[in-house]
Amino acid sequence: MTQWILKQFAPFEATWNERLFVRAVYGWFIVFQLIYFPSLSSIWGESSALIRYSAPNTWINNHVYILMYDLSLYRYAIALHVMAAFLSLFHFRGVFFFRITVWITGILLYFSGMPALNSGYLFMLLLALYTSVFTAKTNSPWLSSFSRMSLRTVVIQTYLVYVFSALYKVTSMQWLSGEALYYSLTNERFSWPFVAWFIEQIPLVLVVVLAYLLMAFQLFFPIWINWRLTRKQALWIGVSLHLFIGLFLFIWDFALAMMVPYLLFEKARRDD
Amino acid sequence: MKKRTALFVFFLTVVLLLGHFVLTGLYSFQMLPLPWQLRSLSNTYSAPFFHQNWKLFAPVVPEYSQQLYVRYYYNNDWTEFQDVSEKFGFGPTSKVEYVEQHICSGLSYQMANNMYWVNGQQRFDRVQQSLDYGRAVYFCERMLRFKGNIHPDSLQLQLHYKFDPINKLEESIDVEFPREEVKP
Repeated sequence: MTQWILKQFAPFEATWNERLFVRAVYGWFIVFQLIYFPSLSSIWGESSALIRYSAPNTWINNHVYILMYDLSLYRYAIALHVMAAFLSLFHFRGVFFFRITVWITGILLYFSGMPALNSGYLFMLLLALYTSVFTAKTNSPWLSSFSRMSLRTVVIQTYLVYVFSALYKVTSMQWLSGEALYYSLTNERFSWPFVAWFIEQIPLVLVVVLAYLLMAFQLFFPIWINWRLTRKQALWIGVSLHLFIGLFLFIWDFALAMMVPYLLFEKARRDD
Repeated sequence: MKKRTALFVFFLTVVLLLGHFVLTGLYSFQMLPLPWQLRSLSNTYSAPFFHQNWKLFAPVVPEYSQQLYVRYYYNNDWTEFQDVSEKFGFGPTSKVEYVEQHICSGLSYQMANNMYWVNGQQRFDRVQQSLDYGRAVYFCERMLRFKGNIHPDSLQLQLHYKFDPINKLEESIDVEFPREEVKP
């Protein structure tokens, strides 16, 4: 145990997938702004169609919610956010400050555009914070241990997302009866017409089985992804599931966000 | 680095991370009954910086599809009801549609909890007092003004429901809200 702990402080050099993972985290924020560019002014601009929320008058709130009260600031916040995300794609000394900037400006944007954003955005904000201390190659014991720890934190956070999401499902009668999946896939907003048509044609028992498989996949995800026998299948199922959500349920930002940590599940590292 | 320092730093980091995950975990699982002090601590720690929500498609999914329609009084006439996001070219994948669905959910909640009937007539006065309704009117008025350069005197909202129950025929219902005067 002690030897393993001391190894965490040994010089660190990231593998290809770890470097790519960190780039994907910050690249996601740029892709988000590009995908949803036509809607941005309706969310954050001076022509925003979102009613402003109120928040308790505290020092932190007054700063976090500043964009809600001064819409003219949004273009500076977005410019800073995207510029910092772009610089965060690279691994250089001092990149920590740009990565923290992505996180802070991301929080400002989230709280001023909450009805337009889903849990995918929140997940990426957490990953941006965790990976801010990541250094691709270093001999410093501190930075080495922080880099290793940041990647492990991301993995634990991903496990928790799946497990919490599954817990909400297994405690819902609608999910246990399988109806929740039926209604998710036949909802006009969340589904292509042919997916809805297909779901209506197949026997309900198949939808129920699919719902249970989905809950089992999410609830025991940490086991599937770490067990040698199921690792490969879990990777394929997870990526396919999120591709399906992106392609057929129209939630691209969430789908891409959940696919990003899969880069870490590719076991390129052999020394830890 | 000294062995003792390394061990201390490692265990300190582990304890901090453990605390972080416990507090944010409790925050994101609000249905768990907890002593109020612990709930308050987890809420204070987690919001706004570690705010999270893992309830997409759970625990309950609406058993219907819904769309927000609007019509407005313009050039001495009422227009037809139109889907407010579709009218300005925002498709199902756009964030404007996502916002519209968020608004529809709020209105549906108000319909279920604050609409009532008197002598066979729907009454919306309690719905109209809600923030959800105000948000919907504001959304439509701002979309008309900024996306269509339309400045109507009055507008009216309609919520279009499509129920598609399992093994039953689908059914559509339109709920028209009272006309609203728009003040510039």
